[in-house]
Amino acid sequence: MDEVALRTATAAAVDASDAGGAARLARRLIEARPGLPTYRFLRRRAEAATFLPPYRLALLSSFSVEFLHDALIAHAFAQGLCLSIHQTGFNTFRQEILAPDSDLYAARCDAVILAVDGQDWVPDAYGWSATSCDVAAFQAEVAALVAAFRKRCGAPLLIHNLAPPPWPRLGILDSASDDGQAALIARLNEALRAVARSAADVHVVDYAGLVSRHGSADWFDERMRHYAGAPIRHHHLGDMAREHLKYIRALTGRSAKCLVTDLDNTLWGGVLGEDGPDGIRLGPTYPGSAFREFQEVLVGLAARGVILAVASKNNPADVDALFDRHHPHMRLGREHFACLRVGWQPKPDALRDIARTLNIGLEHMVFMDDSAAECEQVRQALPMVEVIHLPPEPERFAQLLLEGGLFETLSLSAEDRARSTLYRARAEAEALKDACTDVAAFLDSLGMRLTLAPLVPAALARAGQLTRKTNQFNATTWRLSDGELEALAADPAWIVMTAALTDRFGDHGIIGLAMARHDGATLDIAQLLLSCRVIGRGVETAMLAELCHQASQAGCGRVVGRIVPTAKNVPARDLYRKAGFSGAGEEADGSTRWVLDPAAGGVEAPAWFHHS
Amino acid sequence: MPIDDEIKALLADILGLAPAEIGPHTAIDKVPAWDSANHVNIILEIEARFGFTFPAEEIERLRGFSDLVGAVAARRATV
Repeated sequence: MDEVALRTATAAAVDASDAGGAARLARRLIEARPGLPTYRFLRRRAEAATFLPPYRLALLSSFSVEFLHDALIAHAFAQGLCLSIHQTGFNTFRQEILAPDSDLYAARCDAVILAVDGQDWVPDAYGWSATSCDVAAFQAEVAALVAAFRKRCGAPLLIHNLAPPPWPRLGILDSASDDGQAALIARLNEALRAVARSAADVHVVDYAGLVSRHGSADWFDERMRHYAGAPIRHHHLGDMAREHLKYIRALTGRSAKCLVTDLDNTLWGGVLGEDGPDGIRLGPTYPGSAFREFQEVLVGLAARGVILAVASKNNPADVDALFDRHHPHMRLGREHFACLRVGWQPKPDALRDIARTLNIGLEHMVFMDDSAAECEQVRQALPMVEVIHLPPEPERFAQLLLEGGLFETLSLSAEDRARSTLYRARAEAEALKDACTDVAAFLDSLGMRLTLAPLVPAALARAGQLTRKTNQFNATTWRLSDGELEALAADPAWIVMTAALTDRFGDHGIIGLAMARHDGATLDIAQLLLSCRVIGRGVETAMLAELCHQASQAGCGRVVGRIVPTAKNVPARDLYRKAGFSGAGEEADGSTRWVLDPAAGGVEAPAWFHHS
Repeated sequence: MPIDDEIKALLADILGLAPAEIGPHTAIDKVPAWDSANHVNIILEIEARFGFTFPAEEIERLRGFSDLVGAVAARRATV
């Protein structure tokens, strides 16, 4: 489709309230013709796209950031969000944050971006006369602003770090000097990082990295900086917006979890079945060197928690042989993949099968293939899967895979780093389940050790991530920022309980969370959720048993729970009924209430858990 | 496309008007949507479309449809 056809189709999808279709077409339109005319077109369509989930963003800035609005709204639309922007006045960011009754707080935004230009924030560091700049004073100011913000607003706060200028004060000597501008700005950014690290849900937007990726001499528009207070060159506004959307994607729990890759002409050059293991292009010279490096990129993704899987049309024996004979230049081994689907089934079937085996929603999967036909087949059959069509040049793969920010996360837990291993364990446990007819005996054979404990600070990031990412075993889909969760854990009226699990396949870390409020008469379970990789092991029953026990101890005569049905949380719907709760009515929104008297029997924890 | 038609299409898109509504009467102090931010957008998109750059002090003087057509035509003539 050309630009005109894409515009027509996007408008038609909006008119038909087709959320998925509209977002996909918007993505293709931006890809085909990035730039302000496209962003403007999409912003106008987004205004009519009220069926998309709304997201409200506040922009605080020292420059004319209004020029970014169209690009932000368009890129959010392409991600399936209806973005609205609360714009505060030019360079009023300090007043907005410090005044308790400012419009910023009244606007009740989902996230706040503080985009302050280094020259405006720390003019001394950007000056041309010999500079002295008080890094500690800068850190104190940022910390005070963050503290004031946190006192009044629980929304995530994204702060731009400072970009070095294109022409450093000391020229070529600058980077060699301890007191050069580059070193100074690095120290200021370190101070910013320290403030963000010590506050809940405050994140650094790597503006310096973004500017340097595109080249600061091209990024900044000196004419428009002076004329209109608009320092970012127009053709980079899309890059800026896309960077912001990476953070919003992660904040809204919409990052992809799994990358499904093809093999031939994707992880190596050539066709394994025809060229043989010695004939494929993978090694020290081009194009093999580019494929080898791309494999290293995937190893890196796995290390940051992305689950890797293979969907390839190949002879399984050939692929097995390649993995087993340790090709000297293969960087990816069997251990990096949670699931291999090698055979002759159509790719959409392979993807469905992988999703089922790993228990991951297809909308959290990215598919990557060099074949236009297979990509198109997946797009048609599984429109919720993000498809990356690889070009013939392997040196372009890494950028295509990484630039969209599909896999971004705001924190990295030990659970994330070990994810591929744990998912492979899950696939193995699934296989074991098939062999074991008695479920209790099977679960007992896993040697599971369950630890139920109040939320500790070290577990906050992981627990917050679970509330934002879990879709299937999630009783109420109540999503919280780390800050909100921390506040609940500190409130004596609330029980915030984490569940951690190990079994003979490995340490799964924290895989469950429950939040309940008690008032002396009733313990009200506001949320209970499990990571999808431990569904079916009875962890929820053990958690309910512990909550009932705590209810009795607190003198509560009633334990109540609630299920808010969503399209995805079918596995959680029977949670309370299975544990012996009685139905206590249905509300207008379809949610159901459940009640139990803990004194009359309570809930019994499954016998297969070894508690610790 | 003649210069004035191209500029009409561009102004219509940025200002949210129909191309037929654009003419010599379309100017910065007549159209509410033609604010200072859109003025910058208009200048930058004309530059991108026609391939030249206005000096900053000229941007102030380009206050309406006719000014823009004249400025583009003058540069076209000198090329």
